[in-house]
Amino acid sequence: MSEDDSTVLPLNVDFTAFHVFFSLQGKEYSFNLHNVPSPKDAGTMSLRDAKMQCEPQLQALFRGFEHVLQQRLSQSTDVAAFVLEVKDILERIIRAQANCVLLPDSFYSLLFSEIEDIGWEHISFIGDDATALQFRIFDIVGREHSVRVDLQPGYPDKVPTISADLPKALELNWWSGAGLKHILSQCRKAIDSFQDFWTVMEDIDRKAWVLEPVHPSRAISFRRIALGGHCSLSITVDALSPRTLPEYRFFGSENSVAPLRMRVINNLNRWKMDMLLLENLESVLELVIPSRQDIGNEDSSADCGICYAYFIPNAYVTGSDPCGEASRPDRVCENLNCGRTFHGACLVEWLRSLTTTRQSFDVLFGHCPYCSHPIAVKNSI
Amino acid sequence: MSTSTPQKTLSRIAAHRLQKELAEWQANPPTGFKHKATDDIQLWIIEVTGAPGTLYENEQYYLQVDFPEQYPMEAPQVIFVKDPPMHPHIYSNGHICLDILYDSWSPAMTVSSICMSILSMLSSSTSKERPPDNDRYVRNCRNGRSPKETRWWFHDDKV
Repeated sequence: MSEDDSTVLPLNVDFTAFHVFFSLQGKEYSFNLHNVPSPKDAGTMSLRDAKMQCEPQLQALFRGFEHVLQQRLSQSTDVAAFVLEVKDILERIIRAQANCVLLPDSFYSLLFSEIEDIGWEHISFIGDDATALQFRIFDIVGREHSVRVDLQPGYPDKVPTISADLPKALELNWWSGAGLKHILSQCRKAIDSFQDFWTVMEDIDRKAWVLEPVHPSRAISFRRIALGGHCSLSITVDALSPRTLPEYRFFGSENSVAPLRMRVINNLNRWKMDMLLLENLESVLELVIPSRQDIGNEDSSADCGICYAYFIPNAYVTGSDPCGEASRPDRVCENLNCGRTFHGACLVEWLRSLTTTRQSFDVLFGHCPYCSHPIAVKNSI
Repeated sequence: MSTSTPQKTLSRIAAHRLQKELAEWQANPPTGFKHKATDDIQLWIIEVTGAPGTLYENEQYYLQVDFPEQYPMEAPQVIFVKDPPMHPHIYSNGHICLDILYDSWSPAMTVSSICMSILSMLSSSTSKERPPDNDRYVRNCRNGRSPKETRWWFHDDKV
């Protein structure tokens, strides 16, 4: 399952037509939806009469399945629900191309006796041919964890691969005679060892304005948090020692960031291992780290001043890592009174469109679109 | 069920930015302006009301804002439709001689800031008249030329 990153763009103010972008398995698709009942019309909220227009690529994939789409349309009560249905259908169509071969009976009888042993309540999902399982584990404070176990055809002689939402990959200890219950107990142990890490991270996510990641999973030890005044701080927390000073980096114009850097160095003696990481950061930086509500939505200081997005809408960054370093607003106007941030790619696109921009080797020299202060950016972003 | 190809659409960057601008407009509409409903996010019709105490007090005009695919790298095309106001920088075909719509455009500007500039241009006018070269200019634009193709030379910054 991919996370839902679809964009639903209304094409009119009555909200009866939409343009939908979504991506599935790394590919982008889009379609239009017309004749959606207006939210003002109370009563029947069904997309029964809506019309879907697909781009040719999508149209080809859906060939032969138009009746399914039509049926899902009439069952959907809103556009967002329909988009999920579309992704679901498309995922199935793509997957249907791969065949499903069943394994020998002995595999299944062993597997089911092992599951009986640990109890079905720990299983939240079993794949079509039962080679993929998902455990559901609750930790001591009641967080729910999912662990995916992929069994190889030679199970139990071949080591299963597991993937869990943990900050450090779990090395499975495997021996002949080991089974699902040993996997379960090793996962429990690993989960217990990260309790303090999650306490620290949840405190940050609850109190600070986390710019990145947009949907932090429990495995991600990286955060970029807004400090206000067009500055942000990115930290990578050590999962095994979450209360020590993390790796950090400041973003913002040099004028506002330099004093913060100095404070970290000068105030390191204030760092206390019994305090949460965010409290330590506040005490060392001598500032109150603002919450999302403090900054408010209008001062979207973190967003790119050109495209108004934080992650670049994936148009000119076509590399394998659409949310990588280049797709964040990392260019800053050095004018202290401006300090607007831009995506390198947006700035390049803009400066290239001007005749007044000069280029020397691979660097474009122009002016900030907001304050006309000189700004430079590498052309090859 | 129809599965024909959609018409030319905005780039994803443009679509995302316009969505944000529209939301911001709806939260804080600029005084004197009303966004009129259309079927197309790429084409806005905006009702302008002349500011009190000016020559255009309580008069209603309509702006049409047409966003290019590469917005905001490229300026939107902004013209008056229906009856353009009588103004020394506004031609009778609705074209507006205003530098920020052409050479001085920057992605730091928004539909809102354009509207404010147009309103202040109207407000500072001292006479209701057409530009001196109106007839010649309008004749040259008869084949439906966009004002963005005109090589403008900006009269002055007084009005």
